[in-house]
Amino acid sequence: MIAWKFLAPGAIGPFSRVTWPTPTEGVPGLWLEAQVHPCASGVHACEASDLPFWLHAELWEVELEGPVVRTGRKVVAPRGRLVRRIDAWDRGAMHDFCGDCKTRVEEYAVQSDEAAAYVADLADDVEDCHAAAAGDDASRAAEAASGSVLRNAERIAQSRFLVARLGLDGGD
Amino acid sequence: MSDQQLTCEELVEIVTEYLEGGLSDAERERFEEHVVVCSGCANYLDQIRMTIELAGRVTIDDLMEETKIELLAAFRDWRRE
Repeated sequence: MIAWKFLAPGAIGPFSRVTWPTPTEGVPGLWLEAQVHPCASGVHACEASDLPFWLHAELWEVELEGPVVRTGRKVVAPRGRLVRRIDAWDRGAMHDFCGDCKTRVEEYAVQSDEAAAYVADLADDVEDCHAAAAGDDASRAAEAASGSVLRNAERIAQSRFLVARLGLDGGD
Repeated sequence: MSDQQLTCEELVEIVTEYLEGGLSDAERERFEEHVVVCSGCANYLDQIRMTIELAGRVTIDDLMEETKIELLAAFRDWRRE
């Protein structure tokens, strides 16, 4: 199965602190193996729909092998390896993502004062180019404007933006 | 699915359980989702990890006699509370 993985600079797992072997000259990196226990251990990645929840510095295409378990907003497998880095996920893309979130938050702001309070946060997120915070603030603004249905719709919009902007195969 | 978002205060309370693998899958996911969006808590988690790593290297022989006495007294008082 092909999935996606956000990593800290240097191909480091943001939570496991494991350094993933990177591909060289088009050959995927070495397999990482781990016993699967959905959230605590195993090789974690995500599907395109869950990308906005895990935004970090580097985005990689990952090949997972073995029984893949979907749990919450992740997929977990006993084996995984990096196939290629998504170079399109750069500062420009992060900035565009923040701007896209900001545009929708300005629409939510018309619906409620509580949502309007997030406009300033989004402006800060754009300035800081903090994509994860922008996505989170936009989902909170959506919820403030119209409840959980709009919050979920906001996350879907974010995912679609990433898939389109980065030229990913949505898969799911 | 972790719809209820964790606050920074809650994260501080459960960081030890997180690092010891004591959280449920859902709690762990909420914890990590918060760290992704909150740079303050991400820094805090890094600092706690670093502290554990550095403290783990300290042996009894590395401590000054005065520090040993202070630590023993602190533990003694803590057990009395």
